[in-house]
Amino acid sequence: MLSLEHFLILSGFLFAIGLYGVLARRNGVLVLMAIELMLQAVNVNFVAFAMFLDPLRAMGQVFAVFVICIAAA
Amino acid sequence: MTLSPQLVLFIVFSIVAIYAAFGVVTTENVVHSALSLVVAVSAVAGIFFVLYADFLGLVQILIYGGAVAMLVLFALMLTRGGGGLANLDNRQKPWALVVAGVTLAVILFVAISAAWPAQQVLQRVSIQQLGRSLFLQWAVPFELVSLVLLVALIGAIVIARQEE
Repeated sequence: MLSLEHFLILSGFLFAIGLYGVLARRNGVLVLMAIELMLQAVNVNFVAFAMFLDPLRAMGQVFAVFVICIAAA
Repeated sequence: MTLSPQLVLFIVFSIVAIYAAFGVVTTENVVHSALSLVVAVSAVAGIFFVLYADFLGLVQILIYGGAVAMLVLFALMLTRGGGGLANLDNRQKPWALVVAGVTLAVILFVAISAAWPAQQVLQRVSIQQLGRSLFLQWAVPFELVSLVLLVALIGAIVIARQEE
């Protein structure tokens, strides 16, 4: 059965991998890509919390949309 | 542990995402790194679909796969540096491993041992609900985000013009 912890573990892994990339890569574009990975992990967190704990208000999804917009900028 | 289709899909997308994420941060070729990012982003979009957040999954594919990855590839192709792993990983690599490992341990510990509130079954949320939230409750941040995008656009144009 799929539960909230699965998604939190996944986003934890993605965040840690992105963090390693930010700290260990020398090229600026590669650092940016690793930051994008961290933002992905954050978005997974947001949406998982929103869908599991409060699906009717969709606040997590709205925030994830904002994160994507800022990442694109 | 019963193997529901959601669980299978989640496991598949998770493995692809984590493998691609490793590819982004460890490969020698910069273009390979960008393509790995596209794969990772697509896998995360699949995760969104598993979570019944279909609008967000489509937005993810559109924006990241369509625009951001293309921009990254253009930026890479126009500013070609030297190749090789020695050029790409700086000297802080062992410390980076330690910091990332500690962060991972902390996140996993909190995720597993915290007492989350009662979880509801994954269900479809109508996109009307999302639109209503976005434009009623979050109208001001929405306008601010469009302002940020405008500023970024103007900044990019100014920088490009100064190089002429």
